[in-house]
Amino acid sequence: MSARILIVDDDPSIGEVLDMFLRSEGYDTRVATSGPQALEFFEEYQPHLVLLDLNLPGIDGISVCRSIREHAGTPIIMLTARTDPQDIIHGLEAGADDYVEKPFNEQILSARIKACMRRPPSASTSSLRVGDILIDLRGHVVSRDGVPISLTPLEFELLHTLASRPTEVFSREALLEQVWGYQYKADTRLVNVHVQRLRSKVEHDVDDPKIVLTVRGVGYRAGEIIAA
Amino acid sequence: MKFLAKIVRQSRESWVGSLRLRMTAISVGLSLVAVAAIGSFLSYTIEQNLFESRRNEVISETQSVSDTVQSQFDGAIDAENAIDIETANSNAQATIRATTNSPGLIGFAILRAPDQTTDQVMTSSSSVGFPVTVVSDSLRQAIHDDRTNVYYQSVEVPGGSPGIVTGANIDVPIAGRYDLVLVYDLADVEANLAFVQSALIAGELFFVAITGLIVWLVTTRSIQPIITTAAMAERFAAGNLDERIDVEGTDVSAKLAISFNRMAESISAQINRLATLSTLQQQFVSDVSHELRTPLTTIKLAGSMLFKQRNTFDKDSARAAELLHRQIETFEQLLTELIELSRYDAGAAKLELEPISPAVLAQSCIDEMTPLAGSQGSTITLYAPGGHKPVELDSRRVRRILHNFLSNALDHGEGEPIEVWVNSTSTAVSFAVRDHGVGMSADDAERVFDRFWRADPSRQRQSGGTGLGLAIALGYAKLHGGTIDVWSEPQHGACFRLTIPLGGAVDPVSPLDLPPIAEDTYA
Repeated sequence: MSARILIVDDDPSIGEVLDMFLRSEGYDTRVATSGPQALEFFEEYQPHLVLLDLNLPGIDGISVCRSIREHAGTPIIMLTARTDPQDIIHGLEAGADDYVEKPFNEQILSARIKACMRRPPSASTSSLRVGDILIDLRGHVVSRDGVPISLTPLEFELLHTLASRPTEVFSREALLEQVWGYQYKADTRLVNVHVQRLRSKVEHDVDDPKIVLTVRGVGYRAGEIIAA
Repeated sequence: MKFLAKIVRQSRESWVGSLRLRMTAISVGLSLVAVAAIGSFLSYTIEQNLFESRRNEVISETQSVSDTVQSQFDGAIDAENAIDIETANSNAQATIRATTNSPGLIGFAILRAPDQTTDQVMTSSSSVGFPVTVVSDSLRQAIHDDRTNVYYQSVEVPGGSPGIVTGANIDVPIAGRYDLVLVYDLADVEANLAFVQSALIAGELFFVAITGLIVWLVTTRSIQPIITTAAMAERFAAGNLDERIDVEGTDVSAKLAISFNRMAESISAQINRLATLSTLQQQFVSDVSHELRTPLTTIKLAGSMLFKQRNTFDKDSARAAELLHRQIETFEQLLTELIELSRYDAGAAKLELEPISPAVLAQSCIDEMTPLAGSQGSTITLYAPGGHKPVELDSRRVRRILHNFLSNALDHGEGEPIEVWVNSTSTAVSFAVRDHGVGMSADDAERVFDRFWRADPSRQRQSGGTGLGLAIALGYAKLHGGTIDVWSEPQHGACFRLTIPLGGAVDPVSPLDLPPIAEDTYA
């Protein structure tokens, strides 16, 4: 069974050409042209990934993104015409995993989709610890004192990457490469926003992080393991 | 020494800087001079008066005492024309004690004039504690020379006070000529004078202080409109375009306020007009961007799909698909850069600063370009004598600048090695890209930042290029408050150097030479 992609764009020709392209790449697709329709199709179609234009009639893309994130970690890639750089930040903060700028290159889009949908290879160890957090790699569950914390696959991957090499400091570029699958992509805001989102879920105090530490001018690293 | 120099500099600054201080200091200085002159004159006059009146008093007292004593001696001669000298002498002394009442008399003496031979001799006598040392020979000589008048001399009495010695001639019958000498202490006069003088000085100082205060207040009052206007202009310049001065009255300061307000009005109207224009332009750029990108997305995807399937087309259609595909790329890049430039022109571009190590950033740009460099046989080497510590930069934009430098270096570098330099000081960070290719003439180097200008239109461009790259790079450099400098020599290559000030430094010296010279120690 091929992976399902929900395409959301108010411009029918973009929807159509994306539909054509993704089908030719072997995906199963559905096109929504408005916000309400996007949410309706999301429920009904249960996509593996959403391509989401931010500029939508009815409910805007940011709200759609937030609604999906309320109950699903499905990867979301924003399609943005970049009228305002702030849009990208807002989109990422609303829960989008990644973004591509219109007009995008079809190879780049294809690579981004693959990166978002890939699942991490089965781990050699069954669990990792960071701070007072337990990462169950087999069950894909993160918990503190036995209480599960809900993370999106991307956030899980980000935490996993940091925790897998606890002594290493990851530059934003390295994280972009390892978590997002980018090569030489320079938008480090992607990392910053997702680290903030991850912290808001796993840290006791976001202003004094213990799980994901900032190494000023270099990047991020995992916090010390605290015995439970 | 440094401390002193600092004080001197500071006082010079406040001297030049404060009109009030200057006016007040000048008037205080001038009134000090005037008061000192008047004071000295007054003091001198008073002193003269005090001493003179006292001297006259003393002289007339001496005169009357000597007259009295003389007549007493004259009357001491009895009917036999004889005289009881010693009785007469003690009577005379009693008379002197009784008749002198001027304050300050510290002693008197009746001294026998020297060099005379008489039938009888009266012993020289004096009051207890009479200061013999103050009686000079010259005084006695003067009494000897003129026997009718009283003589005086100013002396210093024992104890250090000023004093006056008076002397008069006494002819004692039968016993000959004697000098009557009286010594007065003028300490009370001196004390009076000191009191008057200190009162005078206190009055003068008070006068000077009052003068200073008055001038300060008057100056303050009269330059208040200027101070108000200056402060207002300062706030206006800082961007508070609504600042206006309250106009009071109709004098010249009111005129100043009215003119200033009128000027402020016209400037703020002009600025508002420009701001509106800028907002409109930003909105327009934003709209154009969105409206063009949407169809271009479709065109691009469709074009790519056609391009991918070109092998199934006939020859002409396949070529058309190829052309379409390539030109769409160019068109897209042009659109992106035009929009970037318009955003910058409209003032909509904002720095997104984050701490990043310049050397790491440069290395990452080099890594990005290495495949393209390899295809042209160039190598790119990083030399970073400094610039490893993170500094606040908009990494996306600095990358964009370096990318542009590197693209140009590869385009014009003739496959020769390319050097990338990074260095920083506390005031600036600098990046330079040096190639050893065809280079440019000085005229060309001046035009590289012109929009759509290309060094040599006939040259094949490897990494693409719209002719806007350096214009955008310069815009981004300026956004950082920095500059881009160019060095080039035909056939010797070119060097583009970006310098960004750090920590608010103004026009810092670039940490890199232009072009940088490789030293083995750096490599």
